[in-house]
Amino acid sequence: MNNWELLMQGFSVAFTFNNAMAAFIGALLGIVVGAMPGIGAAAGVSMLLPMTFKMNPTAGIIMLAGIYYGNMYGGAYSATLLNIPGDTPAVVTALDGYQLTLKGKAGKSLATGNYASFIGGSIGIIFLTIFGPLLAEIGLKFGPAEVAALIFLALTSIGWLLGDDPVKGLVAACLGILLSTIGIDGASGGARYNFGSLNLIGGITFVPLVIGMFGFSQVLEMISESKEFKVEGVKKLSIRESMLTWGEFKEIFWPSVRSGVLGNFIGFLPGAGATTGSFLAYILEKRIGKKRHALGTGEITGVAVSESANNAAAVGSFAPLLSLGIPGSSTSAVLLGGLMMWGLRPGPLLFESNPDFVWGLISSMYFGNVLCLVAGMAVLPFLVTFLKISKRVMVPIIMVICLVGSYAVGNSIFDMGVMVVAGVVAFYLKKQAFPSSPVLLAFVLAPRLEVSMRQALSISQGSLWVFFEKPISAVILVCTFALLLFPVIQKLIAFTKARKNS
Amino acid sequence: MKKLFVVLLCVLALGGVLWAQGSAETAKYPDRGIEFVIPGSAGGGSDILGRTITDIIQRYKLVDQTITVVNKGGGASAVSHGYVNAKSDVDYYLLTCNSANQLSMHVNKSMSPKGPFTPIANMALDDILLVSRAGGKFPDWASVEKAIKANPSSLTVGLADDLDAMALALLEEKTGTKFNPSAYFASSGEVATALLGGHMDLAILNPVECVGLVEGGRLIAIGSFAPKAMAAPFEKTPTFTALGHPEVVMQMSRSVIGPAGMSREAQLFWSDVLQKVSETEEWKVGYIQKNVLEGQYLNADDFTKFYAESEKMLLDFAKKLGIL
Repeated sequence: MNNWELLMQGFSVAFTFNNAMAAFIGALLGIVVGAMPGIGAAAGVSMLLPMTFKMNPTAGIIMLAGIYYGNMYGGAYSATLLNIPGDTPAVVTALDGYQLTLKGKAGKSLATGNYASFIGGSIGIIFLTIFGPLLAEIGLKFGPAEVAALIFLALTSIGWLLGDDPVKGLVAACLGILLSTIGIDGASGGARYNFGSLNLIGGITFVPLVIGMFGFSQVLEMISESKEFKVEGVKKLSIRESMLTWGEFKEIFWPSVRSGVLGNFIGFLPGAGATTGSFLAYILEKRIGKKRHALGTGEITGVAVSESANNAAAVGSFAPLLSLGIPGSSTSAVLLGGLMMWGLRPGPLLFESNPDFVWGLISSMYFGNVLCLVAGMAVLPFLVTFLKISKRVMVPIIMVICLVGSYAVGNSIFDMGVMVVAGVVAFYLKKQAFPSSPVLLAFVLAPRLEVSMRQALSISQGSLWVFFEKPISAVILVCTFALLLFPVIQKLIAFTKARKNS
Repeated sequence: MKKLFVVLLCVLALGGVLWAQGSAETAKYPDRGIEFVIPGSAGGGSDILGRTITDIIQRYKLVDQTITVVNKGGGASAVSHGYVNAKSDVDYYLLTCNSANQLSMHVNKSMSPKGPFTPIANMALDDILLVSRAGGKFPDWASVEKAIKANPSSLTVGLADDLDAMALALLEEKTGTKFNPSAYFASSGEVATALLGGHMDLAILNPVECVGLVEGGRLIAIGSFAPKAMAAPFEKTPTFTALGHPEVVMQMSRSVIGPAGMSREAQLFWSDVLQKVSETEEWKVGYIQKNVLEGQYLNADDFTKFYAESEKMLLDFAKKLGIL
């Protein structure tokens, strides 16, 4: 039987009443959980896992998968409206999303997020259907050296990519790297920069840092500005206003497709993740997109590439999970636990031994993705009214969300302190025009780079040559250096030309 | 009459307060959610152990409160130990443990200044395997031995923890070989991935970490450190004893521990819960049999004794092999 027949058979499984309901509930829950700052996809899925034990495995996994990709939709909402990313990949969404809100185009940004999520998700699902197991094999070719090169590419791009001043961007990225080295080093287990503190030995937790740098600093800014926090044109916002025009849709369509393909591929790689996917898609757009110069100032394209890439990556991580039993992200690890609980063993044999299950899941994704889009568009008017709330009410609400959110992650008062300090630091950084997103992206990427690099070096017995003798990592590194040197060479050529002319 | 009514009301109110206080004092442990910390990233042996236990507890409602599984991989379990050591409410954290973590505590000095961890229960014994890629150059031990003796340090072996390192050191010492060990992986799941992708030649893995891939014909277990022949799908894997190296024998325990200073009440509570877990069908068939482990439940007191003895043995062994 070929994939097409299997897929059709899968649809007949997915469209039974129970399974369709499971997909619907999962998608809806996912959107809600995703929109809440502090609760990411992994936490959402693990909280709801016990609920699914009474269902049959297919309905159970369909619901959990729905939560997972619904989450990627929801993460964009709080990033856009409050500038607090609901989960890590949404850090990239917040870059343009919040700027759009300030311009009074929150509705457009949310709608763009929904459309792009749908496009990215669809691309991911189609690729998973056609090439799933094959792409998982290609993903295996990305060993420690290749992943290190990929993250190196992302990391070196942070400085010039975000904010107006590359030097300030670089300084902010360095701050992020510095913060990420606190605690036990992920490779060999030695404690670093904890100054004897037991709280610091586990490192700084990401969620309080994000909530502080984005949310709490936001509150401080709102308080310090005496004028009423006003968003233009809010009163006029309705679902019709939020709809994209045909021109705008065309504008985001190709960038969404491009980044969907890229994000999906990153999702197949072991250990790269949706954040790396979103960020690389943003870099690509900043290099080749039509609106590359305006990116970061509130462009719907910026929201589109990030959302499309992280949805595609989320779906992509199902390929190594199902065909090799290797979880590509922490969320798919929870799903792996669920699969084993139901007596299924993900691995090379799953596609053959349980075709009903695998293809039922894949076809439910087509259906679930449409549901997410419909649900996402339906909640739009409610989300937009959120912006009409006045500053006097808004400030305490966000403050409470920040405090509760940062405490809830680890039930730790210390984390709340981290959140407040991060907020104050980010507030002053912002005053001096240092961007705060490089801090966070560097904080996420640097430990992964360190671990992958040290793994690669331990395989090569310490020889740096390992990064250049493997074709994939060599190509990525060459691209990195080309990207870095490109502006310099460009200036050099312009300079020599100018001298010749004069 | 009115006065009497007021007095009665006062008595009732006072009684109510006292009763509420009384019930607050005797509130049954655990009165809030528990975190189950896994010293390894998702997909590894410890992760599967922790998630299986949690899932069974929730399925049979053995505990009223929620249990959240938290992965703190990296630094050969030092990251998770540091995380737990920083907590003050010690009764609300559990950790999976195995001989490898027990050894790492000493190698990395990741024990709490408050004292050693609290042993709760032993759950199983696990075997150790030397694994290669199917369709590669090394279908059996003989081919590996030939290649490595001709060219020492030419083969890379993936390791996830100090016990893997110890197993490899034992193999090297008893067979007169020298490999290139590659560590720094946060879990054996990552090691299996790197082996599959051809980024290393061999790996030390537990059966649970490669059983799906061995069954699926992607990896071959070319030698086991087990004392006797193993069950399917590892029935074709020879023990190193059978390969002529009777001293290359090693097993590891898989257990659950609590933070330093955990109360006796909490320790006994979880020891009981885990006994119930170990008696379920899901545990015996779904975990032990399916992942080719040997079930061995020990309660808090027996395990405390076993824990101390095995720790001493491990450390002596590690010193002899030059790991510690």
